[in-house]
Amino acid sequence: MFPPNPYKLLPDKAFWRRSVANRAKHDVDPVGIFNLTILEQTKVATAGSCFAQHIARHLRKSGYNYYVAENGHPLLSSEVKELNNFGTFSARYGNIYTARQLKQLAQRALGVFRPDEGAWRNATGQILDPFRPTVQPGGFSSEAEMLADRAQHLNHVREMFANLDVFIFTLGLTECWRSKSDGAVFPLCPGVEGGDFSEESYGFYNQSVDDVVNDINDFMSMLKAMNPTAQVVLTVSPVPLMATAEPGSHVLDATTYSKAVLRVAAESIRKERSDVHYFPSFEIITGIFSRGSYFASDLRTVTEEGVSHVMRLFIAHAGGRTVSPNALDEAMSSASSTEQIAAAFVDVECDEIALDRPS
Amino acid sequence: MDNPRIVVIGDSHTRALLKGYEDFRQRFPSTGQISIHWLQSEKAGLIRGDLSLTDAETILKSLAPNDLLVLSFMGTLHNIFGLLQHEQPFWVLDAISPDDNNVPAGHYLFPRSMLATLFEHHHTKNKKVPLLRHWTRARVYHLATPPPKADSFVEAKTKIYRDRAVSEAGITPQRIRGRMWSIEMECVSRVCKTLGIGFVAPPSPTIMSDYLLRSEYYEDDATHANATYGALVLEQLYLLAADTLIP
Repeated sequence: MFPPNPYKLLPDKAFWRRSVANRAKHDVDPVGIFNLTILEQTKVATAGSCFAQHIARHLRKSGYNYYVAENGHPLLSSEVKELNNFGTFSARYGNIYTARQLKQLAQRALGVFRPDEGAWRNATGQILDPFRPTVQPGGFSSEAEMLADRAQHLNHVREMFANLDVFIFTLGLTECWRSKSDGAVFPLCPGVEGGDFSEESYGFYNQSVDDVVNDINDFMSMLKAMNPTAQVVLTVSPVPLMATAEPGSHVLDATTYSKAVLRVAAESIRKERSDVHYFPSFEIITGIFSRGSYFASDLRTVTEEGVSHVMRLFIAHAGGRTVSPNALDEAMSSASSTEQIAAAFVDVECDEIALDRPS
Repeated sequence: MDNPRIVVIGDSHTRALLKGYEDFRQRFPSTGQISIHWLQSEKAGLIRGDLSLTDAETILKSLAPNDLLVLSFMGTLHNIFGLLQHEQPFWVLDAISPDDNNVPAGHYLFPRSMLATLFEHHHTKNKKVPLLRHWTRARVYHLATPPPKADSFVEAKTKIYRDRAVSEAGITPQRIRGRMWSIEMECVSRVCKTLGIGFVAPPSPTIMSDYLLRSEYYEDDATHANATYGALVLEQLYLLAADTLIP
């Protein structure tokens, strides 16, 4: 006897009422297909936007093998390493907001793309790496020093790609600023944190779904050439845009566009490739079931409660371990209020904040 | 009005001042009372130094606002970290003219600001300097350590440094040690400023353009300066005590 319709065969998670509306906040689990297993010895590397720093932090503290390929000199204590942004991600690349940035990072690490852009100077005259403008506190003392540090950094990036088992990349933005001479994209618009903006030299570009899909696929080709067994997890950052440069756009409208593009692109790639997986960080934080409670009062900073929900589900699905809703919260924070918890990790470097700095 | 008292308290680098005292006194016979002390510390069961912390407190609390307390504790990290080649060799570029832009293969490039963070992280944890400063109403200064010495001299004079054999480890090249010293002195100066303490740079005749100590001021070991250097530092302190600008 055949069922009356296909929906009768679907699990509870296919139904809004059963899996979203009638569930307690902490019990909502929007993970769809996720076939990746991460063991304690699996080398997990991370990169991405500000939100990715939370993932890195939690992996470190949850007993996983958070892989840091660029760990600084042994003379540096752990506090000094942290001050110099070692360990924020798996290499000292700073925030990587767009798929284009990720692709170009891999190209630069392989030596197949050597951007024309020289060093930037900030308002106090410090020399910055335009592709990592906030990575070195105090800046570099000369362009030569910046280039030498960049070279040793890219060696570590290559090493990271070659040796990781799993790469978690958090897609943050579609909007970018790029050099008109060679298409190099920057994590920040020139002139914001360093460099000098000119319309002659730089242009705004808002990536489409095709752009993101092509960039990620190009990146995957390079990654798999270095590391045939590498697996990638894509996730979309739930953090709204600090500002939009899309002409005529409202920042909320621009945010929706960006996140939609990134979400569609991630899904397209996941469906095409068995080595790319999607994890729904975006859905967990922004889903209506939490009624906005996973955002702090600025409606942009993600609370520790929200990050814990994401990581609890990640550990459950990837690691096969069940973690209680409170366990990660207790492990990560002793702050009493949402604001304190949120404020505690605005210390993670979010370059975008510079876009809205008072002049 | 009596000449201000000058009290110098520090570690082994105060020996240069002690040795240079007679020479200084002959040239400046009318200075006020000067006392130079090595604060006691214990290492491997051995007590070095001649002044206990308790006695230091007594002395410092007796100083008047016009007197001078001169400290010498911070500024040795460039030797601790860099005299011998680290197992992971490193390199530091010159700030003004990075003409040796090529970092040797296998060397870690330390951005200068990262090295500064490393030094500052250690020096801000120094407990002696704020404690001694707290005990006195006198004007307080901190001395720079002597600049580093040439490779050939260090190699000839040093067999073992901090339990490592020089012949096995090798010496960090002098131009790197010089750069480390200059970065560390900038750092010490900044830390002193936060503590409300003045900073006394090395006497200008003693330092060369690549931040090395001139050989005529070498003591017969890897890191210390001699009596002639010490006498010049005392002259700096004499001028400070008299509120005269240091040349």
